[in-house]
Amino acid sequence: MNLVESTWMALTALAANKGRSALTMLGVIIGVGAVIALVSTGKGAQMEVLSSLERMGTNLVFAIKALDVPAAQPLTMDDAGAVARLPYVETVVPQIGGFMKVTYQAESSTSNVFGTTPEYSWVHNADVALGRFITQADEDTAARVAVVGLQTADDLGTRNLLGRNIYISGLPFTVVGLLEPRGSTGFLNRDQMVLIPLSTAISRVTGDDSIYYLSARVTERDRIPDVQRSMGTLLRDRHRIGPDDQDDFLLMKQTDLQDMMGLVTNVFTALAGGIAAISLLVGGIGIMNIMLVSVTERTREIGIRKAIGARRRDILAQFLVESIILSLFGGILGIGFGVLLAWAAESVLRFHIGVTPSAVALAFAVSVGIGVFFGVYPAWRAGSQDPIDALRYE
Amino acid sequence: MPEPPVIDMRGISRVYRGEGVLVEALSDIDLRVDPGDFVAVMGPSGSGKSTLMHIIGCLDRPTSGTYHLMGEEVARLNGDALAHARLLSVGFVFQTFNLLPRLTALQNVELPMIYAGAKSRQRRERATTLLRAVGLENRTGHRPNQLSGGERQRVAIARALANDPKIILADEPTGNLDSRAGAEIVSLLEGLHSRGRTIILITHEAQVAEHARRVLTLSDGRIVGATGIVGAKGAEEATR
Repeated sequence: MNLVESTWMALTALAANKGRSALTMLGVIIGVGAVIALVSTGKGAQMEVLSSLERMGTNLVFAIKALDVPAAQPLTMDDAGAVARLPYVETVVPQIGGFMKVTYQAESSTSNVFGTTPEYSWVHNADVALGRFITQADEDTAARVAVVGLQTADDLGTRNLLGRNIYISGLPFTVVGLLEPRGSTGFLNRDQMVLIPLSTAISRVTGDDSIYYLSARVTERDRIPDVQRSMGTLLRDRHRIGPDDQDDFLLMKQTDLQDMMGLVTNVFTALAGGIAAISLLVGGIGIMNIMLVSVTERTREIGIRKAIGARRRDILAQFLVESIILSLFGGILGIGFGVLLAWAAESVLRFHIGVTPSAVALAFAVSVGIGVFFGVYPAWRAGSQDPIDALRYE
Repeated sequence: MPEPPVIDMRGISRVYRGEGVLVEALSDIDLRVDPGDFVAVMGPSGSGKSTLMHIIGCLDRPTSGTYHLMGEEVARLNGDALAHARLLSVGFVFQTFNLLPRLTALQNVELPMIYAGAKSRQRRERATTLLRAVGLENRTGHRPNQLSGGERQRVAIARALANDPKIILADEPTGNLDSRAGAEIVSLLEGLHSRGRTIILITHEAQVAEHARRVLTLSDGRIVGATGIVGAKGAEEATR
């Protein structure tokens, strides 16, 4: 008996129990769909985070105060000035501030308020959609002006803020610019942000020059590790850290951040995919269950087929092909379901979620594998029936 | 030189092991059936008729003894080799017809040919011819539940002939039929016999058995009687 005959027999048998076949397939459809949708969403989130890190600016080394060292001294403007004088450092952009409450009329937003320099705009790819960025004149006069991120504007109830006064720590600031959307890096939502002149932040908002976040832009990509090393030496020296003591600051290359976020998103993708795979497993068990019922119900048929000359392997093939067809069709429909789910997730999450051909191929292969794995035992039971007992079965 | 027997059994026993007791369903059966013979096997319930039929038909293996089917020793064959013998050497006709309910008459007749690996067109042609031969050319597309009992049994006979076996094994083929349909089935079997097919017919109805050339009577797993038109030699041998 060849494969065409077995397939035809299997389709006939499955068609005789349409409702049951459809319900059995549903388990696989949901499982495959969930795997595809979740893995694709995870991958999409990863691409989004990584490209957002890329958009944050290139050739950067970051420094922040170490959070796990009790006596850590903050980075200061003098530190920033010293870093700026290191070889291969093109420019330095300090950010002073942190989470603060921003209000406009009755609305408020808890946003990252940072005092920074005009260089921030080109180093961190922050373009204004409306108005202008902070200028050197703002910096020189410690002007009370602010550039507002999109999410903060939405929190405050309107994007029509140019020329209006918003309040930060009780002080009025005139909005002079609205930033383009920039996305999130995973730890920092760069749309929920208010930027003010550095001098204003020091004199009016924080009261000191403790730097929250320092970015050093390196002239050439190949010099990034050198700059990281020389920044480390310089800051240890300036903070008078003994040879046996640990750094009271943390230096990170942009590539480190990308590696880290890549790892984090991979773990999340694997976790989500793993949970979805459990539903696929349950779907497979459903197939096995229904095939066992089917073998019992069709004992007499098996007996008749054996009596007229079917071998064990003919019967085995017939039932195995049935379970493979169930899981294969389930898999194909599940791919469609997964694509729909991914599409729905994309419209909710607003980043690109591509269903990759490799995910589809994998889902397809796994569903065939499930058909074989969960079909073998029922098929073996069918093939091993004794013909006389099977013929007598009522 | 006489043709070798199609069935040659010597010292066949079949013992069932059930809950601590051994039940001997067949004991020391010798049976020789020549090509073209028509043998009826009679006997009361529990006499071992069905067990004998299962062993002749390669559905079961004897506990001891030798059995040559078409010259080949089959008593010790494994499951798949027995299946092969069933496929090509014997055709079964059962009391309860045993057709597959989801398949049409034509598909039921095609089934043994599928397992024999015949091509689809060949199968359809032969199945159509066989159904015409049993008078069902207008019923080929009907499913068993759309057919009368007699018609179902005729489909079963057509199916038994599908791979052109030398031997037809009929186990109470008229048992579920009214007398008229039963008579039709018996005359079909006689027709097959007249065209050279070997027929073994198990029955408990004397008027069915009398169509055979010889009649064996089983009791308690032994052959206790043998009669036959040509049968003197055969009967002697059978009861030896």
